[in-house]
Amino acid sequence: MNDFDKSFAVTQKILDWTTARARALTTNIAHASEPGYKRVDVSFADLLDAMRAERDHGQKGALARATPKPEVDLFAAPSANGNTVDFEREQVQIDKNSMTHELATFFANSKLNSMRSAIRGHAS
Amino acid sequence: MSEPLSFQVFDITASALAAERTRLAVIAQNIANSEVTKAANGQPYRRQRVQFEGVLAQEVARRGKGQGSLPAGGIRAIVGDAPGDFQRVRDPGHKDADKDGWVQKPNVNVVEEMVDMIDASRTYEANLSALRTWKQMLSRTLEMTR
Repeated sequence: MNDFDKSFAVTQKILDWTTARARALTTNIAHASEPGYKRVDVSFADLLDAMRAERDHGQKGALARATPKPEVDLFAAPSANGNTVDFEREQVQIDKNSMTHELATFFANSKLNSMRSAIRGHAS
Repeated sequence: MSEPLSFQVFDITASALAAERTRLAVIAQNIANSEVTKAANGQPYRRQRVQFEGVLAQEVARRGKGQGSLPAGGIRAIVGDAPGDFQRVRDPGHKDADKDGWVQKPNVNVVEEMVDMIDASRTYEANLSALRTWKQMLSRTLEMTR
C-alpha cells in the first residue's frame, strides 16, 4: 500500500459509512407510518474502533475489514403505535450525515486533484 | 436484485410515497362519502381504512453477508373496511329513514379524517425531502470522478 492509498483509505471508509447511514435513515422515513417499525441506524463508533485498532494497536487490515452495519436503535422512544421514527430527529440526522458525506467527498476531491496535477505535471 | 444497493433506496422511498398517496386518496374518498346513506350494497358507506405493512426485501435473505443489510425493505398500503357502528341520526322525512325516523349514516368522522390527512401529507413531504438529500449525496459522490 503506497502513501496515496493509505491517505485515501480513511476517506473511503467514511464514504462507506455515510452512504450506509443515509440508506438507513431514508428507510426510516419511508417506514414512518408502519405500526411497530423500529428505526435503524449506523454507528460511526464502529469505524472509530477500527481506526484505533489499526493505528494504535497495530492490527493490520482492521480498517479495511470494517463494514458499516445497520442496527436497530433500541434507545429510541416508541410512539403510541410502537413506531420509533421521529421525523424531526431523522431529518436532522439526514442533514448532518449529508454534510459529513460532503466533507469526505471534498477531501477525496482535493486528493484526486493533486494526483491529477502530479500526473499532468502542472497546477490546475 | 442485481440492482446496486444505492438504487434500492429509491424503490423504498417510492413505495412509501405510493403508500402515503393511497392513504390520501382513501381519506378523500371517506370525506366525499361521509354523508352517503345508501351505497351500492344498500347499506350506508363504510369507512375505508389504510394499514401499512412492511415489505421485506429479498435483501434480507442475504443478511449476514455484512454488506449494507437493512432489516426492512419498502412498505405497502392495504385498504380495507373499517370496523365500527354506523351513526344513527334522527331525520324523519329522509328518504332512507326507518319507520321511526332514524337514518343510518356512515361511520366516518370527518375531523379524524382531516387529522389523518395532515399526517399523510407530512409523511409524504418527509419522504420527498429524504429522497432529495439522498440524490444530492449520490451526485456529490459521482462528481469525484470528474
